[in-house]
Amino acid sequence: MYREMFAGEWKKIAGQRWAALLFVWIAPIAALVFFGFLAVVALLSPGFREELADGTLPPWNDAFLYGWLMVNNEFGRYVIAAFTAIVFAGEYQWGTWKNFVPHRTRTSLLLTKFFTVGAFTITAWTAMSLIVGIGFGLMAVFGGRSYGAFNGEIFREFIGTYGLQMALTFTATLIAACYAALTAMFTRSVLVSFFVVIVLTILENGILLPLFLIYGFFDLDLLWLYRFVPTYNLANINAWLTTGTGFSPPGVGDGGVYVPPEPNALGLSLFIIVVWVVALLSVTLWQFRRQDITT
Amino acid sequence: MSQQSAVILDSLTKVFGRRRKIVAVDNVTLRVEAGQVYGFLGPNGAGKTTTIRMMLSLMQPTSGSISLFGKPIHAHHEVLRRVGAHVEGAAFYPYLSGRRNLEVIGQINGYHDSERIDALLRQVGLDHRARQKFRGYSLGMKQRLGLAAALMNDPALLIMDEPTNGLDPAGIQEMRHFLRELVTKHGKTVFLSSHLLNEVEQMCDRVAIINRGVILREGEVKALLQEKPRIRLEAQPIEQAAALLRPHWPLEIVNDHLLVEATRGDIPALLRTLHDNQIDIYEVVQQKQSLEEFFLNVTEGASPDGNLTTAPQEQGMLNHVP
Repeated sequence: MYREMFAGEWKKIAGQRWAALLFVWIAPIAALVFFGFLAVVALLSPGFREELADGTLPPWNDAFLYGWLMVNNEFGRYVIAAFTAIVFAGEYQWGTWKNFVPHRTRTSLLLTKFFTVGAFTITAWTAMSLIVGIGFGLMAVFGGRSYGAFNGEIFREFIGTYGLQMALTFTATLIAACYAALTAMFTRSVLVSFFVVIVLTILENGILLPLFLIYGFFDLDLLWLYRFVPTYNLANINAWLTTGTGFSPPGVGDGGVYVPPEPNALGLSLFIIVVWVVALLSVTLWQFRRQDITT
Repeated sequence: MSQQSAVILDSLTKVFGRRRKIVAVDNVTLRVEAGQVYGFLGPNGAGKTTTIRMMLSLMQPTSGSISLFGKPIHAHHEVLRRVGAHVEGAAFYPYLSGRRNLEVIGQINGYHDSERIDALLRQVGLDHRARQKFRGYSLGMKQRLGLAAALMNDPALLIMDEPTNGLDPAGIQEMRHFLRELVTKHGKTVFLSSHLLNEVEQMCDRVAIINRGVILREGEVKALLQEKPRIRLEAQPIEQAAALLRPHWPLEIVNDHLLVEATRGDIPALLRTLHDNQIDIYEVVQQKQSLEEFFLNVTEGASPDGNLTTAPQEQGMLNHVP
């Protein structure tokens, strides 16, 4: 049952070719073009091959992760937010919910949509990481160099980090999708949803700026609030699991304007993210279940 | 009894707004027996589409209940899987082809069948345009795709909201035959909302007339149209004839004719009265009331702006009707 629903949702999402190209597939395509160009240059230019032999190249286990690092940052979240806004608000703008709501429970409709948007994003960024990883591998071949050590321990560690990046991307997509779905339910417009979701994401990413202003003008210390937003906690989880230390945003920490005691513990960040996801999903489902479909 | 009823609406009410409350549907009660074509008539803004949206669980009623095939939909959502619907114009993904749209609807709703999609596209005459993007479809093509989508799950109850909008005369006739056939040959039930009264008169077994959210009249089409029989009479001198008949029958003079509210059984007495008073009689015709006349009588003065917005022939909207 859910497999068919997933297939249908996938067709709808993939069918929005321009949106999917502009916000999701552009990165893998750009990577493909970039490494394709480098490969051609390497084939034609002995000088470039010498540079590759002497220069710095990442080992394979870092190279395959580069794609994920691009999406698991502030910019990546804007892209995901913009795409999910289009996917969710489109159902309202085109009046297409009425084709599905009579035959399916609203909960299953929305959860399938969330899952499919997440899977679509993961697929694109997996493709991106493969292209980058293989691209650097080609450069290593052209330079006649090793592409890093490979053994069971390194591979296990790589798989763990890779899985973590996928999970973080899926979680970030889920949170963005909840923002997008909620906004779409109230605005029912692709364009308005797009801008509202982008603004929400900017506010969430840049929450420190207004908090600093409040601190500066009113001497009111609300700076600790940033420790509860999803962006910080996703970055903090990533930092704990990849470097073994927590994450402090710019302007905070040693030498910064405001010195919090220490970054959130890994467990606390995981708990905060789970609370965000559960709360946002619950509110979104509650609103969708009680909403009149009038378009 | 309720086993045989395809639809039962019981005191259905929908109120919009919290401060300024607007009652869109007010205590609507009706029953549609299985195997009928049921017409749901009303001016624009009368509450037809809101009622249909509640029947499809797209909207929550403020109060009252809806049962389909004997099962209340709030407790038995699965009964909606026996329903096909085309509500307020066809709505599809503009960037997908007609066929792809049907595939998506079938897959998400759990009744995907490629062969049925092909058959339906042929049936509605879209097989040669199935690969074209929906955004390029004409209004008539969109309506046809909407019909195909509504039939995909082989529904026992088909709810059609203004299904002939945008169709050309041949398309309207085709749609009429098609819907009628669904009932007579395949035993389906059709709930049809329309303001094309001629169409409803030809297709429906029963009708309900709704205005300002309230059901004004409900019953078999034939019975409703026999409620106010009239005799059209051409006689001279017309003023004298009118003076003789007026004490016995309500009448009005329209052009050179008298329209007398009388039954077929009154005709001999009516003619005797005129003949005994040396009135020349040129023509006597028993006039059947059309559904349009009936509708206008029932809704007259009831529309919010005082205009009968759903008299499409008077508004030039009916140029398609054959």
